[in-house]
Amino acid sequence: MSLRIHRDLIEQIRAHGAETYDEECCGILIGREDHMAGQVPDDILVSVIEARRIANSKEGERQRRFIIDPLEILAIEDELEGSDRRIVGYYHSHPDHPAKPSEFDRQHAWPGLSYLILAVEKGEPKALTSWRLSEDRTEFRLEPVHAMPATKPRTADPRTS
Amino acid sequence: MVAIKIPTPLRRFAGDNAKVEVKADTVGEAVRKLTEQHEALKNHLYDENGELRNFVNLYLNQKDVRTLQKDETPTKEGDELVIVPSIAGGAADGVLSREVAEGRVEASIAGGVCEAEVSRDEVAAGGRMVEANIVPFIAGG
Repeated sequence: MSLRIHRDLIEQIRAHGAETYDEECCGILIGREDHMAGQVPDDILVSVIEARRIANSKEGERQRRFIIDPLEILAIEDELEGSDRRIVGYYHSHPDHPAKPSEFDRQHAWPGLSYLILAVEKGEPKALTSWRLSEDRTEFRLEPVHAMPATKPRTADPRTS
Repeated sequence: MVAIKIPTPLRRFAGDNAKVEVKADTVGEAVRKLTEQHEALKNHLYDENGELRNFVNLYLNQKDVRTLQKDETPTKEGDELVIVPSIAGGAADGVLSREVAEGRVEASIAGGVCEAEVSRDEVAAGGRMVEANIVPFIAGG
């Protein structure tokens, strides 16, 4: 399993992290799985085609915590129903912390999704890493990220910030 | 029957079903029957103490069951119960790393986009950049 994402989307995520500093930003990654003929399931490539900004709905402590309102997720799941797109993961920033998942991240993660974490230092976006929760929920594992040249990715939803 | 809608990431633990129908009189009974049919779901819905994980939300006909009667909320024929994850997370607890606070990049975040197979030690040493037909993304660029 690996994640493919266009550079424009990476830049959108980096910009989001810089804008919300010193609070955490968060968003939903929408994409599709590419099943290559003859490939084993482990070689499935997940392509991100949209990085949608979501407001951090955590009350307080937004410097080190984020929550995405489940109703937002429900609405997007409904929106994508019947299409070949689905929620493939989430992103959030770690202001002045490394781009590594915390124990809190692990406890609240779901398997089968990519979790992009952006480190933002003093307002400047730095490293971006992607992680997947193991099936037994015991650990996060780094996953390869293929940063693709920018083409025409969909832009973030301007209705949310 | 109560139709339980399964969120995408959990469908493969429910026989790849987007929806599972069970006969139940309460929300609690519906979820219990779901996990009896699909045991692999248990670990993702319940914690070690058998309690529903606090980031698992249940909506009965679009209403959060926490605002109704929780597990005891009665269900009737034709109801739809939706499992919705709360997505939450955040930076590690505790004080900020002095290195980060002072602008000296911590070794663990110096690598940019890293490959999956690298060990945590390798990540700490900066990680390996993705190569071949992949355009590497350089941190801080």
